[in-house]
Amino acid sequence: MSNVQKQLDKLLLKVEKPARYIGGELHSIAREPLPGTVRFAFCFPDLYEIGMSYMGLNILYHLLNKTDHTYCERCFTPARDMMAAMKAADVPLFTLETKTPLKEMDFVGFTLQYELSYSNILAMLDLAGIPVLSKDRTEADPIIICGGPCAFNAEPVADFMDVILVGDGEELLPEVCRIRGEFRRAGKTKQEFLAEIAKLQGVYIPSFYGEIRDEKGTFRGYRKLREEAPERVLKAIVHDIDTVDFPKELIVPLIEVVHDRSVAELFRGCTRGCRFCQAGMVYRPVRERSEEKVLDIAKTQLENSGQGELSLLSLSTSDYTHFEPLVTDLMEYCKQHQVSLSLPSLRMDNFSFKVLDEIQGVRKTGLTFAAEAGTQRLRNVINKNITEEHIFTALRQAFDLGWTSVKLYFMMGLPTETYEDLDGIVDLAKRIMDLAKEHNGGKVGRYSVSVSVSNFVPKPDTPFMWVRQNTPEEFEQKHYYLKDRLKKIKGVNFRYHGSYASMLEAVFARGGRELSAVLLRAYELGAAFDAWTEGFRQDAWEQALAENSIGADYFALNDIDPDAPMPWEIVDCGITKEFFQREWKKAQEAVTTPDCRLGCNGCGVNAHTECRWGGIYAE
Amino acid sequence: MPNNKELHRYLFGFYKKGNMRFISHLDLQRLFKRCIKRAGIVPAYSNGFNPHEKINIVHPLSLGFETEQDYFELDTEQPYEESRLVEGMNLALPEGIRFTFCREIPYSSRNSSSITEMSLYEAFLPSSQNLNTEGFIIQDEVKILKKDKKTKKMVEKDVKDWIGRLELLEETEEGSRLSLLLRSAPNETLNPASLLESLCAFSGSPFDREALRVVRKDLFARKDGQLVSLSCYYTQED
Repeated sequence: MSNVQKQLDKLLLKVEKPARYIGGELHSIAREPLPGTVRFAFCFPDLYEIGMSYMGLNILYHLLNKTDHTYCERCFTPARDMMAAMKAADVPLFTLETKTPLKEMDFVGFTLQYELSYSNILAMLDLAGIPVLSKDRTEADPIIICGGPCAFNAEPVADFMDVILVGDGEELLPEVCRIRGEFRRAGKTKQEFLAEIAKLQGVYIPSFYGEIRDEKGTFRGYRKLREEAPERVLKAIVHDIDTVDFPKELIVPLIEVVHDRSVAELFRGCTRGCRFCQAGMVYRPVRERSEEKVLDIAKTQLENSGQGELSLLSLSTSDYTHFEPLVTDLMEYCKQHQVSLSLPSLRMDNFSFKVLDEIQGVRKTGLTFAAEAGTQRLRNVINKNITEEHIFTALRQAFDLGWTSVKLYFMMGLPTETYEDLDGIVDLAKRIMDLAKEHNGGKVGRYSVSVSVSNFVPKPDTPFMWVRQNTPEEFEQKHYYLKDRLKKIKGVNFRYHGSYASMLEAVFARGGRELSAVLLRAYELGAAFDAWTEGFRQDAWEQALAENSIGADYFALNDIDPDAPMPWEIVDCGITKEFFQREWKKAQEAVTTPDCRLGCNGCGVNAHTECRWGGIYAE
Repeated sequence: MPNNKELHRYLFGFYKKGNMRFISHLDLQRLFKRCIKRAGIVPAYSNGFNPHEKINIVHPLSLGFETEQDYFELDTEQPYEESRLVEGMNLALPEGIRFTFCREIPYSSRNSSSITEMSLYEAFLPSSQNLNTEGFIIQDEVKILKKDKKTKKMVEKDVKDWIGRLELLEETEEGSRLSLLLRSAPNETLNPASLLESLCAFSGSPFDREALRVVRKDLFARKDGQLVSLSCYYTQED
């Protein structure tokens, strides 16, 4: 029994949900690693229940553990009560599988899924007893590495990271680990290792670049400090995802997690081109997994786990080439095996209704529309190609089939938004309720419309990356405006998000390296779990920003000159700046860009890999 | 949906040890449902708008306790071979939980929870010494603090009648090991931790709830006036 396990025995009865910290789940891999094995701790900087719902963890865990050179274990952020108990008892942060302190790993790897998880990275390094700043670490410390969607601008955490991996990790991460093992055996230093992997597509070593700033302190670009470093780091691309192995044995959590289900990924990327959506830009081009593979993965996962739910993963489920036959097959299988099928982001056409009606039966969940904006003009601006006609045609059908609850998702503070667009949200909700009443003999009855509004956050590598965000005050005014009007409509309820947290998100989405100091200070002042409303420490963030003389307005609230150099431009996401500028111009004119499948829009990704979708459905 | 027509009931024994003691009753139920699916067993379902598998974990164990022999009941419409059921159910279990046997028992609308009377526990109390078990038991009333189900307040309750046995097995510098046979019947359950807390207070010894280790050894029901392990209860009636 490891030392940590003995210490843990005394802690676990004192904390909430102790099973978060025990590991031992079905399909988790606990083994005594062979000497010479590269040891990797996959860290998700949030609670177990959140991290275990993330498919990327399972993919990389599976791929690394399949190699003969690397052993991958998991670690999540302990909840505040466990953090306090561990500190008090001097227990270092450990891996779930073998209860090994993170400090003894070769790699400690973080997935950057959302900006508001950054403070948890510091909490985890601190709890592990690993110096948080890259420059303070020695040969004896693990290499701190990260990847994930926020790696497209990881500058705010660059000072903490030794290595940043950009793009698809399936091929790159095992290769980086393999080289580490080889270099360690050869007795080479960490610096030599970093210089070697810097040659790989998708590897960004932040310490190999220095910032250039003018006399006013404005960011002017990067200076290469090492010969090996590329001018820009092009994202890693898996050209054919059908050739990379997808896990058929998912780790089955012992406690309830957010998404407790089998998952098969349909495809990566998206051809719709919504202008606010970072994932839809940076994961281009669309790469599909074959129908047989998806079926095989889904069935084998279910058989191996006994799970009662199956979900398909992609940015736009209905766009899958063989959507109808696949779903027909899966529905049949799920029905036979008492498995519930969940299909996110469906387009509401006849086939979808047939499917939903069949898989949901009499217990219908809410019908969701991501309308994103209240008027057609604004939907054109953001290139969200859903019309009121779509919505109402679908709703008439839905009400006929017995649905009674409708969820509408909107974003607020979108570029060019006016109060007319907010009125559009109210109007839409009202007309849906009117339609519901029409179906219900003039009464509201069980019918409900839930309006959920999130705050727009400009993200790098999107056509909206240069646009300012609304101030927290503007957001709040708009929330009140909507609240006042929506509460007058019977059957409608309204939900919205905290404004300050959204501003922080924008700060960290678009900010540069100067934010590392802010993060560190906010953590010292008690910030952690910033994505959680409960325990969010706004005061800590305000103080940390103020002490570093950084106005949030610089990153979040100002329009940016599209020609100015941006911190994230060190990374090449594969899409050209010209495309983003073109799209931004069209947005301002409320001109839409059609789906790539109707004609190539020239985003530039085909310069790096084959895009098979441009114009495949063109007349 | 067929109801009670020729249902088969299977009684399983299982253990739950080590870190698995941190798996709660509800999570254990979810785990067993996955095992059933994984094994391809078709369970009987309850009637109603929201049918659920007819399963029963006999007398759930407190979070943090281990068990060497607990029981699980599963109803099916079709008959299964007992050994195949154990094999199948063990396919999807984490280390630390295993089914040890399975036996078909007569189907009844009452499940084994309703006939269970006592639980046998072994407890280890680190840093508790000089426990006066004999003096404690011979009191006219043995009081513990118990949460009132309605008011949710802690109230004193005399549980003398609920103690079958309380025996000090061993006392060392590390602590005390005890054997406890306690009432475990519907609505009449004595938690060993509450009793031990009271014993420590009576003996003037410190009590550390978080360091307490409890292992349930078995569950018992009464048959012809004798307490017998649930694993043997049905053998004669088959």
